[in-house]
Amino acid sequence: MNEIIEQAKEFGNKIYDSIFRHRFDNTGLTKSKIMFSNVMLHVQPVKIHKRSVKFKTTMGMGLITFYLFLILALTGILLMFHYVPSTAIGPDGLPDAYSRMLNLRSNVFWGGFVRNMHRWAAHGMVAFVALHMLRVYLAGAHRGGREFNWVIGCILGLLTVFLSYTGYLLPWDQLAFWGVKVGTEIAKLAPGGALIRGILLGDTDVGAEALVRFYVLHVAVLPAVMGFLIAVHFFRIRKDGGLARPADTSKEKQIPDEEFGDVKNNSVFKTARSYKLVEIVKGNEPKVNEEVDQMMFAWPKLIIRELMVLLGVCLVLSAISVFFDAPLEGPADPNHPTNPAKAPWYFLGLQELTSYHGFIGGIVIPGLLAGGVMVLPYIEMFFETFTKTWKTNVPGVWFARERGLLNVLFIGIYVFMLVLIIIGVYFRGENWAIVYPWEHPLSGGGH
Amino acid sequence: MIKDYRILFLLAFLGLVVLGLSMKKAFDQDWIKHQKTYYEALGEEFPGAVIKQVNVKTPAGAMLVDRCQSCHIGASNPDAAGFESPLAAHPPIVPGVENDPHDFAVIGCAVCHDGSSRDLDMHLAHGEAHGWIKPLLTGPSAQASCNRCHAMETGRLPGAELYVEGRELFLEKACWGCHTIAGISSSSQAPELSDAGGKFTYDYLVESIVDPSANIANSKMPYFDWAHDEETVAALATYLKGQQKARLRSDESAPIGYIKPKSEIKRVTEPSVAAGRALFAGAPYEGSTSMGGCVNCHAIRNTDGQLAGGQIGPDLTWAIRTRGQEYTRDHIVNARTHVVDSIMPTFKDYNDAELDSLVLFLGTLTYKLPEESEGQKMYDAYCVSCHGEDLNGRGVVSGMLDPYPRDFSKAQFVLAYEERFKNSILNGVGGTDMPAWKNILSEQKVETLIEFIKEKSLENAPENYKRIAVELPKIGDAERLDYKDKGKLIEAGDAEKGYEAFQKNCTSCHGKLANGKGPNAYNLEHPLPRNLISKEFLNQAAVSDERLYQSILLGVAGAPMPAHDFLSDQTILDIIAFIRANTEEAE
Amino acid sequence: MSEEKKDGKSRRELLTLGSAFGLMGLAAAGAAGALFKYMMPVVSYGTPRKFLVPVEDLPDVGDELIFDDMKVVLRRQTEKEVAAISLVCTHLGCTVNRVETGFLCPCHGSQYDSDGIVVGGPAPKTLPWLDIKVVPGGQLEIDTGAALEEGTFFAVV
Repeated sequence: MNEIIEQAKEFGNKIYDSIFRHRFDNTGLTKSKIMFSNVMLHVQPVKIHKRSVKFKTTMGMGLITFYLFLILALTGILLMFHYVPSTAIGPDGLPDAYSRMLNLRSNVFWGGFVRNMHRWAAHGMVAFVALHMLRVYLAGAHRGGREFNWVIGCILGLLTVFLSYTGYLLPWDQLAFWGVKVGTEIAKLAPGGALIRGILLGDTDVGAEALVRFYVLHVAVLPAVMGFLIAVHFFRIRKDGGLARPADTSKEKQIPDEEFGDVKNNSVFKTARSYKLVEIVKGNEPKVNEEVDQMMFAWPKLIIRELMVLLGVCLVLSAISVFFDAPLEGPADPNHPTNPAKAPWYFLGLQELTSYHGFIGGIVIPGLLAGGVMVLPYIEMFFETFTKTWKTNVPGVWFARERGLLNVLFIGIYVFMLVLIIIGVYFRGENWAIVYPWEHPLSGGGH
Repeated sequence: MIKDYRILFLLAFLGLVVLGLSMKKAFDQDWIKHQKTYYEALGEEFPGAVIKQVNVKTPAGAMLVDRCQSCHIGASNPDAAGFESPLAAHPPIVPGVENDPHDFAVIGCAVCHDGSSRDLDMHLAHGEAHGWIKPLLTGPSAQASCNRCHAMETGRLPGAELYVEGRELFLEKACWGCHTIAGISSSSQAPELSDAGGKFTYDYLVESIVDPSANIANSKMPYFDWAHDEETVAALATYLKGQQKARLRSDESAPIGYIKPKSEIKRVTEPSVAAGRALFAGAPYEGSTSMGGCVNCHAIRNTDGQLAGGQIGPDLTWAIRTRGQEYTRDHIVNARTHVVDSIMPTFKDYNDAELDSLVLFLGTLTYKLPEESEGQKMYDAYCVSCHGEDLNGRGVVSGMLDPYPRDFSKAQFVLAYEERFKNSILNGVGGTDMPAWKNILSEQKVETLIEFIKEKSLENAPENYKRIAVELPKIGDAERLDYKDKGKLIEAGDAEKGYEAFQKNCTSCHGKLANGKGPNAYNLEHPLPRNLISKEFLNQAAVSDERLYQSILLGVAGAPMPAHDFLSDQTILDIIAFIRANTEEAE
Repeated sequence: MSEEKKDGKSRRELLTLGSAFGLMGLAAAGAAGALFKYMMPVVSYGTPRKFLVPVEDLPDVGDELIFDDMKVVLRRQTEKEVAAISLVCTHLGCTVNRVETGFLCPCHGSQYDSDGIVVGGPAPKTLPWLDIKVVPGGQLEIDTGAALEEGTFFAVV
């Protein structure tokens, strides 16, 4: 009898071992094993700097953006089950794609909620990409070997905007049609823009062909490229030694261990930190005898923190989706523009600029901004190299005094775009005339 | 760490709550409640919530998805007759038939009532969402949709009374005169309405009939008196809403039980006063299909002098006596032959018998004022509808006239051009709506009238107003040189140079085409710039070169036309030559 | 810190973490349930079960009329008697072909006689005979959902 129980236990253990390669105790070894034997977790290092989990280090911006991407992928796939990118008009006078939107909000259980999630997450992602970029720049986290990752990040940002924009057309309502129409007209202004526009639209104007192309870009091409670049982005963070941070010094306050969970040391070397030996970190190693150990195990602190962010994002997003419905205007009508016809909000700054001067506002300024921002770390590198003012102590420092002017300029760009967007969304009414939002209801898209 | 776990717990808990909320929202649908109430009221067991979807097939193979009966679940159940909305049975559509041929399980609701038939939320389904293209058609206005399946161009479909009334009104109210509806009328005067129902909502149509400028700011459509009668407007709007090019059945495949009768064309063939009267009133004449309805715009006076009819075009009591038969006929066929900017529609489809009938009928109007009437009385009978009670040229019908009637309230004008008045009244003003009154008014009476006008308009006249007298410079006169142009000898006007000068100095008001419709004309109020290509106007004796010269050089008194004393005499002569060249009568 | 205290602390930690994960699991299960409903069809866009045939479109006596898209054959036995037979094979739902001897299924070779009775092949049952109702307006309503016994004719006119 006992033997059978023993054998059953053994069988159970074997099943357990075939799935998990470790137990859940408090030893450093287990904590390491948890991290590197799990495909989801092994992207992250076993030991991280204690400061990494502090709110003020990243504010979770990048992570929020990533989670929004995951939510978008999930809800997007769900929406694909109920969508066709077709403009064929039924006897009720509605294009097929638009009818599917009506289905989502009427007979499909949870359909409205899933669509709301997708819509709001898309807007949220554009916003958080911008915020993440602002955080990175102000904290100087694009420096110290991370310059190229900044460029990848910028490409990811552009992809995000483009993904959001291609998705904007899919409901095929008035908002979508005229928003995209306005956007692609701006593309025409650029040299060679007419070609790009032709390739995007597949026709001389926004129509059935454009819908199919935008659909394929939106559900296949762009998410694939995006997923790959996200992997590269994360990989480089890891290879660049985790989050950017200034060197530890002995003067710095030791962050107490208790906050990060206990570690039971069952090694024979009571003081050795064996893992440190194989850890490879670029940059200046602190002197050994002055070293302050600010490293800690990623499990469980980091994972729990990340889970918290995930839950928070889901929570806020679902709450918004329960209480606010995604906009859906009448079906697209190429003969009757909405007045005013507005692009989605993240392009409204551009549209506002083009209303002053087509080429300068629509191409030169945004081109300079996007291009300039993308190579910004290299501009900094260039000047600092040739003026011999290379600053090594600024990566990961919020509002480093040495970078004051740059920070002000960068914030200036943000404020400039924000002001334009606010004007575009709230202060432009019929015929693009200045109106006051408290006198006129919001109209004609932009959301 | 425990703090983190607690936060995690809290977040998970809140997440669960929000998830619950989203589920509640998805489950908590009005249509489910309605279905429960319905079965409760019927006393039956609730069989579970089901979306009642009708797929309405069309000949083209496409499908109209109709979910309305998820809420309107009792629509075809006679037992639900007394139930409250939305559960009640639909009232009978075809009156006096035991089994209504309309089966809602097959045709659904949206075929007749529009709305957003896929939606299940009341607000959305009834098409109340912002920008929705097909708001709900309720009550009798749903008769507009009969046309989507049944062939209804002529004949009477039981149950579609409002629609049929609307079609009759469309003819009676002379809408056909300006608007085209394929198969009924052809006119390029106003927007075509063959697809009015497809393009516009019912409310839009109602609004546009009641207030034409509500949706199109510079609409020329008149304001009709009858537009205040809600029933008339509803009938017309229902008829127009029924005009849809996209139909669910063709005339051939229209549902059985109704076959389109062949429309017969029977026109008036013998001219008669009675036929003319019927045409004028827009009433059918002895079974003919001739369309009329002059009375909607034009008023006439009976033998007692009582005025009746529309206040949109001029009073026609005097038409034959002031204009003559020929002119009247021409004017009906194409009003632009004589009055170049008239907005009256063309009635080119009238045959001779119909035109003769109308002229004959107008010839029977013989009302006249008593011989010894004073100025005020005469003015009130003959002039007031155009020139207005205050003599300011803003009479009731003035809004639709082009050019506007003269404004006598401007004393400068009266003082400056007094001597022209007699001729204008006796012989009329060519190319305008001012007719010649010589067959009705004697010279002496005209003088009485002018005295009256002067008396009224010069009450507050400025003292010492005097218009300078200038003469038309003689060509080649050595005594009268062009002083503004280095004292050159004056030559005959050159139309080509005149064209250049005109383009430089005149087009902002008179327009590039010299038709008086320049961009600035829209900022002017009264009178508007003269149409300078109106042959009828420019080729009358009263419009001499001297008058044109004076009007250009000094401007027109009491009108927005300014003085152009900066132009040299030669230039003015060139411009006159240009205007004359434009309006030369063909030999 | 004593061992006991430490144990208490870690037990509390485990409890909190466990219940947090429990709640998350609950939420995930709920969402999965909702997504199940999200995928479940609640309406059908398919061909309706019933369709109408005007009386004047009926075939001549002894003749048949096939409705391809409804997969029904309408047979007129006498002046007044008509019947409708489904053309859906009772084996695996292919559409059978009308031949001289009856019906043949192209998919797995089921054979029926002209009354739809199985004479060969894997088909388990007779082809369904359908319900016909005379509706107002001189039309017949054929219900493709109702399977009746073979030889069920209906009086029309």
